[in-house]
Amino acid sequence: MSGAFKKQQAIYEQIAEALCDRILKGELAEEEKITSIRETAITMEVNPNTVQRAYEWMQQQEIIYTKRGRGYFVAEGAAKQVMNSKKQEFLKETLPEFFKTMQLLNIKQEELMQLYQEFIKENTDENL
Amino acid sequence: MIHIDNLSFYYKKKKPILSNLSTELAQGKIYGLFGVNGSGKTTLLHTLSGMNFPKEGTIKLNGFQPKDRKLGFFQQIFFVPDAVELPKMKIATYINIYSVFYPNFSESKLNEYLKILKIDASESLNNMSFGQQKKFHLAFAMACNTKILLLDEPTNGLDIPSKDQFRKLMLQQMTNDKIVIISTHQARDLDQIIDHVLLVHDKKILVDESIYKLSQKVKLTTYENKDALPKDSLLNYKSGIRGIEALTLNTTNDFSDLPIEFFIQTCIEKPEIIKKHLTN
Repeated sequence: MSGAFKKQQAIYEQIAEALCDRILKGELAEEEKITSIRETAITMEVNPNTVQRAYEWMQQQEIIYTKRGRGYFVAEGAAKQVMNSKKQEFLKETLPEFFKTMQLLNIKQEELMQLYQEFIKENTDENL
Repeated sequence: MIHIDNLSFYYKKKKPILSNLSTELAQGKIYGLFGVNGSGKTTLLHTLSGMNFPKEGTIKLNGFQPKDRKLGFFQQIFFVPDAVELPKMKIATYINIYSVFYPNFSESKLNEYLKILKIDASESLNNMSFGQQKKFHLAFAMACNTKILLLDEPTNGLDIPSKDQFRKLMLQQMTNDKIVIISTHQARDLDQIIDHVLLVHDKKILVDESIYKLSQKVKLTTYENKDALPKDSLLNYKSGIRGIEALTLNTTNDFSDLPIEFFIQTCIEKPEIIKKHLTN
């Protein structure tokens, strides 16, 4: 074990995540224009370069795209894309941490399954 | 552009404040000027604005030498000192008298800024608190729309909401043809808005690097104990809540935010290490 803790999330990642969340929740629709780098920088009180980094990352992930001279837009299939990359992140990063804690606290598989099923039941009931 | 070439300044020759300091500052950037008390930050700002004259070396600022004190030079620079001493008069009178010196002054911008900073434009300056006066001075400075804006400890004396508004206004007024230099001890007030770090240490500029590059070069990691610290890449460490917080060289490709206060502390405490690893 290296002894190092997981690093804190960088600001640009937080900006990207906030926008991704809005896409997932449907607050930002596909093909909708998102606020410019400058506007976002002013609202979030961060340097425009930081926002640009977030937008570049989302472009690479094909969550947003740029129309020349017109700004940034939510890509077609962005919600699906966000869902996919969130899922990957959950499976690769969150879940191993979770399993480590389970092991550390000696939580058995059955115990977990039972809790999970209860959770599913409760949450499904709520949605009905 | 600002070119500083081998600048030296002293009041007593044997006690130089700045010695052979050189750097270049580019348009479109907000520079954070850091350094301990007495390191010469304010002296540097005074020299840039023509209030002090270089004892040696030259400064060129958009083609002007500050020490020549040409009209065209004063029209494109604004300096806001740490402690403001504004004349005893109404805000409107102040604006009438002083705005004429600045060809790009915008009254509508000033009113907008004053509104955001919650300053009543019908007030008299002498009836306002230190913080209110400071905010007025900052708003006026930004509304003058000069090519060069020098701010000495702008967040000093500002309450928490005002700091917030100040950051917003700073980003709002920023354009590609401006150079802003902000000297500060409150690194955390401004670390998210500045582009570039200038750190004055031992009469010179020790760190002259963009925030982006610095955050690629160094990172903060928490280790469980001292034995886990990486020997090769370690710059500095201190104990934190969850273990040992270490500032290390970033040897991976991942990108994290620059832990600015710890970084500056390290520069001041261990300039040799910083020189060795981070300056060329």
